[in-house]
Amino acid sequence: MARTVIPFGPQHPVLPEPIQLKLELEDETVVGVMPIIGYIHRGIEKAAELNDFRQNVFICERICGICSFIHALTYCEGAEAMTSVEVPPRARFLRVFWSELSRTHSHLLWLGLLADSMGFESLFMQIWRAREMILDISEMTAGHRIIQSTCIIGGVRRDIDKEMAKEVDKRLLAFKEMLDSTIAPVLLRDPTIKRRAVGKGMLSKEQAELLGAVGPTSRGSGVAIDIRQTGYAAYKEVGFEPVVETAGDSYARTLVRAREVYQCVELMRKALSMMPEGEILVRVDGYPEGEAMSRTEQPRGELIYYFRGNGTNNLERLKIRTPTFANIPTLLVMLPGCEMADVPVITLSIDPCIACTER
Amino acid sequence: MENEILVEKADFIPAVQKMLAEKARFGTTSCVDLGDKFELIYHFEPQESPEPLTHIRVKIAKEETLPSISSMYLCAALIENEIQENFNVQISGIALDYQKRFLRSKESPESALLKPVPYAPKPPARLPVRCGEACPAGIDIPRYVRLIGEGKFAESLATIKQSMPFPGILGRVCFAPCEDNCRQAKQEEPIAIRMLKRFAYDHASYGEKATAKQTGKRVAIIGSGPAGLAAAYYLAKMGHGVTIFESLPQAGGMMRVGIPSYRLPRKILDDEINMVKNLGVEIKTNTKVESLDTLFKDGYQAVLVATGAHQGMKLGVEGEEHPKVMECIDFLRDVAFGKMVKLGDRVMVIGGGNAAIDSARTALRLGSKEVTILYRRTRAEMPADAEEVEEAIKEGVKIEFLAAPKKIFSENGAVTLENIRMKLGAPDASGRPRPEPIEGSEFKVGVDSIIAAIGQTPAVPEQFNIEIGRFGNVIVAEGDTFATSKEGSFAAGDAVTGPASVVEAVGAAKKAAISIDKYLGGKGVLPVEEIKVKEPTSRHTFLERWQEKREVEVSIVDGSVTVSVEKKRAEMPCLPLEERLGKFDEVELGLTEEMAIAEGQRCWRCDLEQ
Repeated sequence: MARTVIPFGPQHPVLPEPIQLKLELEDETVVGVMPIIGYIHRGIEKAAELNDFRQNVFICERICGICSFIHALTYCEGAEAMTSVEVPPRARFLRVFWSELSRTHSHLLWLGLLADSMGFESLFMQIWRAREMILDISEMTAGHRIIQSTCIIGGVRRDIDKEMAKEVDKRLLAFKEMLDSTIAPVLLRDPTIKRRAVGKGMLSKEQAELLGAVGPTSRGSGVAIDIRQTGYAAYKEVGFEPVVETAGDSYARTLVRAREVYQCVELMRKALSMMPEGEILVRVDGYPEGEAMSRTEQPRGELIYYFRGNGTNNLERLKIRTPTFANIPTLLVMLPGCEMADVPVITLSIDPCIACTER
Repeated sequence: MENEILVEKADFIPAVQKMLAEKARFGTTSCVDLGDKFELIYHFEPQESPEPLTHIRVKIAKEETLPSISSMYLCAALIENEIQENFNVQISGIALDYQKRFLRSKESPESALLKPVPYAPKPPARLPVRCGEACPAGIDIPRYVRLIGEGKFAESLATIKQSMPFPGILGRVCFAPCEDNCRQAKQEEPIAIRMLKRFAYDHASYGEKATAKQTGKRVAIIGSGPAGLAAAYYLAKMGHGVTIFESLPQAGGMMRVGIPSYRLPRKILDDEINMVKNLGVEIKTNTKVESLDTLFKDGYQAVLVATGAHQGMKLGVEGEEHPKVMECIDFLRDVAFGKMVKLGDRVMVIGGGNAAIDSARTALRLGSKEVTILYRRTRAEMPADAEEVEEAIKEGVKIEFLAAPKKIFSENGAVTLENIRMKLGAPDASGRPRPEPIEGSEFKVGVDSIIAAIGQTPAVPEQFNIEIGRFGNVIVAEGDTFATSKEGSFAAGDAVTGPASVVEAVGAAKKAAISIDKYLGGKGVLPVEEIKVKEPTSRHTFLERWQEKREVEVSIVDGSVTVSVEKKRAEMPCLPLEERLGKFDEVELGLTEEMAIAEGQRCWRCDLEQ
């Protein structure tokens, strides 16, 4: 049998960002895989040590273009814990709203890319058309389609008034309508998607736990890990149950994300309706001191920030563990045994975000 | 932080094992540089509740090594690699060890990605070409033709010199089997490969550079013809001491005595012989070797017999012993050494080979008025070079085809030749039609002298004690090694093949030299000079350039358009006819630079594309 090593990436049509998987093949079957990262390392952890701890919010927000708001939120949660700031309740609900808005557009982007990687161009276009509705809401509420920059230490910078909340609610319902009529039926019934995803890239529950999988990757294997359960921001008040599938294949991970999009819409509507009146921002006077951990649920999974401050304007250390970093090892068990042609879809099924991974 | 376990390095692994036993999930590892120490915090999430995390904190000195936990938590391998690389923390036994190339992997920006990929277009693999395969000396013909087309004459000469030592001689006298095999020969316009070789020799110089160390071995070569000289050249370059024994007063063999100076000026021949002498080859003229054994006794470790074919063949007709009948080889030799030869006005040359043509043209130059060649077949079957025949006819030589001599006798003070007409019959063993006499067609011709030029055979002295073949009087030599039946003695050239050409003798001598070098304990590798020139990357680029310069002729006949894009073969400028007779000046004058470059560019580059 012919043994071949094929570099998958760093440039590949299904990879919007550079990561390389060195695939060891026996004929068409993958027998080994070695992930190679480091193509876009930017040293943001170090940059965060050199900047004012307040400015770091915007650096962290730019770690990733898709889950930008959640990075900022995670940083703010940690910084607020270190400076002992109590965030006003309205700000916490607004944070939930924008978090879920980010998650919605991230999941839709990913679903589109998945369809694209299967060569399902029309579904790709439909999903991204739906995503536009979410981006419009983002622009309407935050003034920007992707990087909202609404979260700062002590609260949020923008409010959503009643009129706007009504309009958002209307648009969310229209969005849900569109999901129901065009996207969900295809994802659930289309034989092409099932053939490319069902039974491909198996990750058992035990493997998911052993490899420390997070987010939809672990939830697709029946591991109910979702940091939103810890009730950060206003998730405690809004109420939350993680979406779990048990099949552990690419299709299960797809379904987790598709179901989460519906969940996000509900969470956003709930957050807007339950949002109390009041302040959205408080003054932060202290300087970060001591250590803190901050964890949130990104679209891709658990995001961990570790802070260490020394009472000055600068942080001594900021450590960021992004979900893709934790999910890359799962490829080591998902890919071996699969066909070369399935590698793109399986690789995509963990929703790799290399910008996050490399920081 | 709450839920924190501070451990020493020794207790670190047991603490992690405890986490594993409790089915805690690994989160990540944070590393802090404390100046003299590293602080590593391993974050775990207990299984029961998602919050809060449990932290294992361990501090190690900078030179200390921490064991990896990737054997328990495989997912920790990536972050351990990152810490190892970013902080230079020594972590041992990482399951997926990237060797500090995690963030700067071999393919990452520092190395290959940002560097331009070293890309140099490689010259395409060259195909065997018909001209090159036809050359007995194995000259890289397409290359030297191309180099002349590019105006690189010195490089072109060096290319020829890589495989053949005498471009000056062969540029003038080679039969050019390459030209017969040129693909453009189908249109009667082959590349003038021989003329270009001569051009390269005339317009460039070459200094011998590649010479091996002296080996201390001595080789004797009998005969200083093309085979002897070429073998001496290569053996000297391979570091052997070479002595050539020549029975005639001047070196050169058949090149000196067989080829008239109007074809091969003596200066060129002398220059080439001096070139061989300058390599340290000693040439002993007027020295006839009686026995090979005496050479071995004199201290020569190997002997090459390259005595050539100097024995004229008998006509086999009645009256052959007539004093006015000459062997062409004797005649040409006498002329070459400046002896006065009296021919008279009417000369009859019998034979159709190059020697016959040379004799006829020489006779004209000596002052004979009427020179006739008698040949028993037609012009198509003549073994002589077609160009030579043409030149001879131009100069006034008459050729009597389909006639053979029958009887020679004296009549009225002159020699009379009784000939008989022939007709062509069925093909014989050589593939040519066998001439058959026509009964009763005898006719008589009165001449002043007769030159017999029907071929030569080798004349190998019996004292050499080497095996002679049954046919053609040639030495028996092994095909690959050129070894004769006598240990340490080799043979090459006409002495082995019977009368052939200079280039065949040179080609055989080259192989014999390799064989002799191997016999003497060498590796049999010829020292070859490297030539640094830009090779074409495709035929395409060459053709483009060629197409710019080609002459396009468009002719419209009956409404159909014919485009003729072929460039004509260069025509060699020659001495005017009236200046040729009575003198032995070189007839061919050589191509001009413009002509040579145009001719070089005419090549189709068959070596690059089929």
